Amino acid sequence: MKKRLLLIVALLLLAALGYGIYLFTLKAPVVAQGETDFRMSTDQLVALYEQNEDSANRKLLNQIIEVRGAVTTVGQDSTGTSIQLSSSNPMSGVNCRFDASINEKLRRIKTGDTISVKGKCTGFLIDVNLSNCDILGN
Amino acid sequence: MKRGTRTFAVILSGLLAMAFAPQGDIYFTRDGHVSFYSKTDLEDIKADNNQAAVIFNKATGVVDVGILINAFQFKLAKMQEHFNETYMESTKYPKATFKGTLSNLAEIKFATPGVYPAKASGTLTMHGVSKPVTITEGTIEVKGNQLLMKGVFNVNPADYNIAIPAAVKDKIAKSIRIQVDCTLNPK
Repeated sequence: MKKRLLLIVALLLLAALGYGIYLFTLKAPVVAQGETDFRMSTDQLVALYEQNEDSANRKLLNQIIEVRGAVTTVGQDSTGTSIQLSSSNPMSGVNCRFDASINEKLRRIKTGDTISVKGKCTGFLIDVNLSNCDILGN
Repeated sequence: MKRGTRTFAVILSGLLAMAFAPQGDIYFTRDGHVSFYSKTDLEDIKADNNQAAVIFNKATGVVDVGILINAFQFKLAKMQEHFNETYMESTKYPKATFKGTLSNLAEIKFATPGVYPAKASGTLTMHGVSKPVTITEGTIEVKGNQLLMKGVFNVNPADYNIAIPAAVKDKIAKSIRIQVDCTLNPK
């Protein structure tokens, strides 16, 4: 009986240790994981930040956002891809950053295309910024 | 509210400068690369951000940088989580800004391609704290119609009220090396 209890305790400890190691070696996702929290147009997203940056951050910061918009610029190098989506505001749009691991998937995207992007909202500078982006089937 | 308004004002002043400055003086990027590096005997930690907004006026030498803390990419999920939640409190302070001036502007010949040493001084604001910062090891490369800006400086987390818990204090450097590398295009 005692032996059995010891065995169970040892197994539990081992499992906890394993889980600990798993957690501490887990890679940070380079492409946003999980369900979409908000789906909106680039106009709606930019307008939310233009109206009140603090309240937009309270609602959207670190949330997974899906936007659809027209591509204004594409920049790609070995570190990843940046795609700028326009909005009706001439000063700001949505700046989407993609990890290099999906560079190939984005190779054919060009200015003027309309695309859907899913990414993590990180806030507002000149544009609303999304990081860890993924492109959705168009 | 006040914090948000102030950081917005910094970016806004940059945008206004962009709107009113004579054509040709303003260079900018939305995709500047900023990385930081913490080196100790126990652990090397590196993170990258590829969405820094930089606005530079080559006539006045004024440079505005904005960066979103949540966009720093780490290798390990736990490190990224601690950085955002424990150290930088990035929900409360989502932005860092640098507003400064090139101190050797006259030495940079914007009409002649080449690499020029660049020095800058200004104010770095992060985690709700503003401190003067000097960048002495910078360069500006004039290349075609682009400007390639590079700079390195060190930041002590303690100066910005960033508390490092005792349990990990030997794993995080007292002085963090910040590296800026961006390609600016004319407005």
